[in-house]
Amino acid sequence: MDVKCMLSVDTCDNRMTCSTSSASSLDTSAQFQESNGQTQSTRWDEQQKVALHCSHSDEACTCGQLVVASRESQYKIFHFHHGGLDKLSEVFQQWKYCTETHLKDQLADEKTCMQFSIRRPKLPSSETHPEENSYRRLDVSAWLHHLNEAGQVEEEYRLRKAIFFGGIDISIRGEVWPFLLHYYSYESTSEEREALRLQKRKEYFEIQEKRLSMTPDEQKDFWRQVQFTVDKDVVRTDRSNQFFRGEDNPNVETMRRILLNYAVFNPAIGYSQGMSDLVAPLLAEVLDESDTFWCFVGLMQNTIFISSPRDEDMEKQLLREKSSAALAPRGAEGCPRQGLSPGHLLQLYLRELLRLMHPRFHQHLCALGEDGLQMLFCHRWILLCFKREFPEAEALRMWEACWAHYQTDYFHLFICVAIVVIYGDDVIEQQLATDQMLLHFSNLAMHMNGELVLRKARSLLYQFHLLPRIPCSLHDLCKLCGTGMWDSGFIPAVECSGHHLESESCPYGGLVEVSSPKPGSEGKKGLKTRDVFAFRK
Amino acid sequence: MPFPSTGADDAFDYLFKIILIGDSNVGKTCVVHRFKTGQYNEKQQNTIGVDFTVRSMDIDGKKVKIQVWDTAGQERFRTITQSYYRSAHGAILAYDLTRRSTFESIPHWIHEIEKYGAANLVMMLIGNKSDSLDKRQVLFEDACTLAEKHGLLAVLETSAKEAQNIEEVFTLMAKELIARNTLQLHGENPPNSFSLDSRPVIASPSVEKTQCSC
Repeated sequence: MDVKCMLSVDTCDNRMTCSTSSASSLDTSAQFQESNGQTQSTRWDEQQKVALHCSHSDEACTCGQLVVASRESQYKIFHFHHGGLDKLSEVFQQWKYCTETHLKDQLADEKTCMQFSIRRPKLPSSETHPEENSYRRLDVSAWLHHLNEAGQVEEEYRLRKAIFFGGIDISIRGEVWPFLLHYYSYESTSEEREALRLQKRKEYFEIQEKRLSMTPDEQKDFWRQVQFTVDKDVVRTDRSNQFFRGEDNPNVETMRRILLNYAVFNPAIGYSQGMSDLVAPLLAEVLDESDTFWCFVGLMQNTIFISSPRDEDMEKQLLREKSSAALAPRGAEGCPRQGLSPGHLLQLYLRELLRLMHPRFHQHLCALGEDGLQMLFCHRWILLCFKREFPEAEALRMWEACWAHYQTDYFHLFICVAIVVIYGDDVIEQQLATDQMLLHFSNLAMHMNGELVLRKARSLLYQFHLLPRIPCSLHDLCKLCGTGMWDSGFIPAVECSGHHLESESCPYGGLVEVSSPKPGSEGKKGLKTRDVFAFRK
Repeated sequence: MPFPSTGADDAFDYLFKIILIGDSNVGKTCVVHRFKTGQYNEKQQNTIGVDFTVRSMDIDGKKVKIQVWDTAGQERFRTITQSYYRSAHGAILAYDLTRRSTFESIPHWIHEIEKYGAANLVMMLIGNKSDSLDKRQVLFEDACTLAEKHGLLAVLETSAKEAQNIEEVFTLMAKELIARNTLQLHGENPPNSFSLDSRPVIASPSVEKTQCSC
């Protein structure tokens, strides 16, 4: 008898991790509880097959081969002895990412050949946003449809929503991104935009002039603080992109000027490594130097990349906050925490969102203590908006979905939660420590399915909006970006999650239940953690 | 199948976490890349936060698993990188021997380690880019003096580009950590299972002149 075992691997998504838990809501509502085994069987995309075929080559069944095959019909053969293959097939049989294909014409008690397929994670339709498939990619004709005769965007909300779900066709990215990045306003006419471009170009070159006319001392300082790093970074940014390829590429020089001028324009931030990763795709799509610069300015203003106070300042601020809170109860606007740096606020939001949407993972983080709760594995995700976690095409979809500011200004946090939901099960099951957790997620970079993550993130946002009650800590999460097409806005009941400083009063404190989690302890811990989610000066 | 590895399954005699720090652009990532893959990447992208590399080495018949934590050099990532100092067994401080300022930052990096790292952490100093000796701005003797002053394990001049002394850096570090380690680790013991007696060991004489043992 010949022993064979076959496994075909789809290389584009070789991390076969999948979540068994969907977002679970506040304990009161049951609608997002973990799905049972039955619905789980529909979670897999059976079309992506990886066949695993085991068979034995000797009478005693102790030797055999494992054949791993790709869909492109490439294969690799492994030989096993001393019953190793049996052990392996046992593992495969129990492994949740494998299904055994029952071969015809073979009696169950004399299996000499087994075949498995690898299942890839997939979102069942019950877990996707109900409007998921109702939007196509925004192409030229759809885009022109959104503009009136004067070139104004007619219904901004509808446009943003379409982009949130469908993304923008590559051919018109350069034209639409300046709107999303608040360089052009949606109400502007084509004429006004042309005037603005001219004026902004003038401004841009004034900034550049300022840079070029520094005194020798200033120049020296600038070189040390900014220019040296920029010079080194631009030549190693997005090298694989055709637009920046090759020696002495003029586009690299343009990118360099934009970054240097930005450091002059905004000396508080200056240049931080990572910025070149953000500006490069903008330049590659927008093309014009001055326009790209102003888009980048918009990007830095409207995302979290805001310079934040140093740790010591923050500590002081917290002390002040603590004492003033004791004197005067703060209004609703003061909840959750005014005066926190943006990066720190993000961290709190993300933590709370995980607590709400993926409690098992949150529990794991809590068990790890302060180190775990810092969630350093998310740092690069957020700072570079997933640029280094996904291939560029997928990452830019995510950028667009975030920039659309559809229902929330914090969609990137939902993407983070989606990644954790889809790829974080091993962390919980294997009880990974903080550094192992970082290793786990950094190994996933460029191996995750961005499309799936984005769909999951949209579905999480939808589920968040269905929640009848949200904790006060997340009250602002869906507030700033406006009410969209509804007059009523997003008004769930808000309840105090009890995570405050001891002396801090919560305007939603009235709803707090006796059984609610230990007030103070976690919040205090959280406030001590350092601000790691913002470009810091 | 690249299962996310936690390291728990594969057998090894020692697991060492080594943090690699130093100013930006001294070639930290290239050093790690050379150590891991044996290759050199001219256009290595910058490191945001912390990156990880794992490699196993065979040292005197022992299987040693080395986890290198490659950090971003830029000042504003300091908050992130500091978080990893505590669990590190060893630290490699890197400077660029063609750029004096990166060497002048070394005392500052040592201070960081002393502040945030474990008390018995082993430090060594590497001067990278020894392929560009014509642009040298830091004398090897100066590096040795500094290393001696701060009680570092050794100084090596390296070139990630030309694969000089890269293996030696990690071998030397691993040997020292083994020597100081009283208990055999099985991957779970915390770093404080180290012997508190951190008397430096004289480095093996087989490594030649670009190394000084302090």
